[in-house]
Amino acid sequence: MKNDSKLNYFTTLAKHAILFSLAIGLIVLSGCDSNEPDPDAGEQEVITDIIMTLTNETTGSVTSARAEFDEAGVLQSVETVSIQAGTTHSVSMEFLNEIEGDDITEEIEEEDEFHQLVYAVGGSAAARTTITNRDTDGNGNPLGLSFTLTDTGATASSGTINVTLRHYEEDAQLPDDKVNDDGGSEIPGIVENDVDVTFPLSITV
Amino acid sequence: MSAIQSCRLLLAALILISVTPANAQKLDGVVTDAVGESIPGVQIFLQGTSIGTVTDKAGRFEFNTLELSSYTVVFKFIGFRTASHRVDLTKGDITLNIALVQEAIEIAEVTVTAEGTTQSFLTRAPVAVSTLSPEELSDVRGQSLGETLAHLPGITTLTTGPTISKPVVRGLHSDRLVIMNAGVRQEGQQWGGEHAPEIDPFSPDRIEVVRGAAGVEYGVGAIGGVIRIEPRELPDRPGYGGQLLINGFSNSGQGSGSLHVEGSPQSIQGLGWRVQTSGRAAGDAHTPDYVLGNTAFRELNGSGAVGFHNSRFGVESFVSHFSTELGIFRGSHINTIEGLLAAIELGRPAVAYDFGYDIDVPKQEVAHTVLALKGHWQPGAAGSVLEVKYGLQRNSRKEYDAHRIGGRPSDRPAFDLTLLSQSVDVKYRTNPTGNAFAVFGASGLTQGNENGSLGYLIPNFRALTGGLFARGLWSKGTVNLEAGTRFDYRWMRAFPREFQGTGSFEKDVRRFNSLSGVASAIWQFLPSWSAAVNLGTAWRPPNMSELYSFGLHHGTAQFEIGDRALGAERSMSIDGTLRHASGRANLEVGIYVNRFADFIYLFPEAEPTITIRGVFPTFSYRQTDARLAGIDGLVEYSLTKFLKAGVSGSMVRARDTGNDIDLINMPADRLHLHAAFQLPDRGAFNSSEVELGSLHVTKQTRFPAGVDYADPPDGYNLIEIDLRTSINVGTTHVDVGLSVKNIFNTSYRDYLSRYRYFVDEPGRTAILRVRLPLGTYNDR
Repeated sequence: MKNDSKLNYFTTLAKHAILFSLAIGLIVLSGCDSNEPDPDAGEQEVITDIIMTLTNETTGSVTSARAEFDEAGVLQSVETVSIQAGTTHSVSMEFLNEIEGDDITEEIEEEDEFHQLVYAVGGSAAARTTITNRDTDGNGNPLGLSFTLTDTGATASSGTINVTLRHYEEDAQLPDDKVNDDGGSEIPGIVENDVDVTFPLSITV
Repeated sequence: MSAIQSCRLLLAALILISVTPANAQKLDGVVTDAVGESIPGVQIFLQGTSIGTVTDKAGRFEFNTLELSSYTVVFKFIGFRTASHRVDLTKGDITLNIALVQEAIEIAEVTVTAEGTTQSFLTRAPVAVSTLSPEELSDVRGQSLGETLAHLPGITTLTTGPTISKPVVRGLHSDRLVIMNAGVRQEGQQWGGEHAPEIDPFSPDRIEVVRGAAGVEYGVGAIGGVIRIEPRELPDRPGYGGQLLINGFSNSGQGSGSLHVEGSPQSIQGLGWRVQTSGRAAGDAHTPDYVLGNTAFRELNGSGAVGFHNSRFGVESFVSHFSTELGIFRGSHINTIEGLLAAIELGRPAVAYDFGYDIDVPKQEVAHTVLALKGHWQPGAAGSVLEVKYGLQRNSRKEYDAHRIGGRPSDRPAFDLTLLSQSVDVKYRTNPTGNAFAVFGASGLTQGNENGSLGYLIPNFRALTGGLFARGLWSKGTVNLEAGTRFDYRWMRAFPREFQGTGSFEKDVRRFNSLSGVASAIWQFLPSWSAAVNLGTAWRPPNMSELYSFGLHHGTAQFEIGDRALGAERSMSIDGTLRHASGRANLEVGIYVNRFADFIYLFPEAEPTITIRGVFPTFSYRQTDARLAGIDGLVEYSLTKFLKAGVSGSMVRARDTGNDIDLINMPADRLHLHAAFQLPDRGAFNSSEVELGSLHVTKQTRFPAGVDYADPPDGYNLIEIDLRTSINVGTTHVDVGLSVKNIFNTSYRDYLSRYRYFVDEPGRTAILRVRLPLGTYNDR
């Protein structure tokens, strides 16, 4: 008899549990939570602008070229680097996050041992235009936030300047790996590229 | 050979009929359900003979002129578990009253019987089913779900190193499969190839994989199949018990264990409970030649269930929590095409990693919580059941990137997704009348996805899904017929960025609705043989990644672009299944053709994307027509009482018929051979067995040219051995197992491994398993 009343109790409980779960389900199903994102959500640590500023060492005149990227890192526009034949320029690089208003150049300077900028001139200008005199990190190894661009030709020409910002992983043996990195294919697990961008180069008479 | 055997059986049956009984005996009785309601129309036959009858309106049956002999009487009725009973008529007439046990609603579709009778095996489903019984599962404890299923016919795994493996059924995976865990459809971020199912590998007591379109009960997405994971049934006999499982793996230094306790109080008949917890921790895996740096993982899971049932009612609540932190091999996270090509060229890690248990970036942190409430009620007449289920799930996935401007990876995840899902399912099964019954159902699902962090790979979204289905089953004699249809509607409101990856957020609403359907027949054309044909059509709406993704995919160094205009994908399939079951042999072979209209895939674009990190090959989601066809199956044969051997294999042929090329990333042909020897009991050692296995995988020669970075790797052959025994310790028995996988420490790569470009698969591993039963734990 005692068992029977317990059985009835649980039977009733079972009925209520079913009804209750149905009710909960219906309430929740009809509940409307928008899941609309915060307009500022999804901001990333990105580089949106790379600016190359060139100062003519003879005349002191300043020009610049800018490459712009969107938040997903896709190239939006790139300006041509224009110089006169036979000139020498001192060049400085700037890396900006325009969305957040951050200057990434400072972050590179803070961790200069772990970074290196590698440059390569391509096209027909490669035979006469060189990049030398990169600045150095705390260990005296090349960094490359500033450098000298020298053209030795006398005629008009064109080409490209490829800029690679490399950073060295925790597994890297610094400074050896950095010194021995010839700027070719990166070694996965030791070095990787944060930036790999190519500026058009135009040389006028 | 099998045909000869069947002929013999037929001959034996004919002889039996022709013999006139010298001394006629009578067998009669009444068949009822568990509540005592009589069941008319139950088929009753004597196994091994052609003698049979059906119960009348009052559930009575009678055999009048039987031979003086003993028989196995089989009771079969649609919607109930097939029962068999041994009777001995040599001592006189017998009255046999039987109560049949009802099958759970969804189980009627894929009949599960622990006893695995010949009859239910032959008619278990209109499509091929791979199962892992509790015994088989206990031999693979401690491995992930994908690895656990890998030896089953028709199933392969898509892996991202030793930490992530996802099941692939007949070439299809991710959003084309449905995973049912404890009766609730698992809702996670399954769109990614590197997203493993969030399942505690110690929790299932039984796993079934329905190969192919699985009918109308599972809703959208069940195009490629259904993986059903069943925890142990709650105890209903008074007492307490449990089990402790401990494993060790030599290769990765993995230790894992699970403790499970269950009970049922004396005072309340029908009340049962269970609590279970498990954990796994592993260090870096070793290939034969080097350490795979940062492939350690940690996992901690727990679950609890309590339920009550009497003859007409049942309620059960189930709670589970799964959490894992797993490392991604550092050398596979390459963000430039030059780096990727250099790593492939090198063919091994550039860094000599030391073994360790530390988990560094890149890594994933995944948690999944499920709350399920279930109730069923039998309103009256035998066989009718109303079932209600409510499910609440929270899935959290954080992925940490190794790439950050400025060199140091962020402490914040690169993406952080939280998916909250709630579902309600109601099913009603009618009282079987004549030889038929029907099941009607309705289901609703609401989901909200939040991306709480930096990246915006998958947008925030809200989705509502509703479905209605009906299916009918008819069974008479040796034939079972089934037909069903389902309607589903899905509404999705996503908040992608206005200009693909950039710009402000906007609202994008998409609506999808469509029908799915199934028609099938099973014919048991000989007592030990059956054939089934299944025609099915299913669909799925495109997922969020296919619609909205825009960005670089780490590890594959490809730029992926979604398409907001994608429509639904539809499959039309035909399946044939042949089954045989006798005392000595078991066979199940499935053959299928699955045609897709608007199959969603990644199309390699001619124009690469120029990004701040250089130039990347670009793939966009598109739709095409495709055809997947193949054959898979299993044969097991007992050569002697002590020696059992078996073969399972699978073959898939997949073609993009729209572009007339092969489909990429389809499993290569594989064959698994195994033989088990039973050793005689000796001293305290009982039920000892030695099992040898050999897996042969061919090289995939069917792939689209010029799309992939590297051609498929060579085929490979792996040998494994497994020893198991049960040791009597006092009054209890401890099960101990030792297996060695990849005995010869073979270096190999698998086409469906995402690491195949960079490194070999893990080498030899020895696994030690110990199982200790506690209290009055009832094994089976």
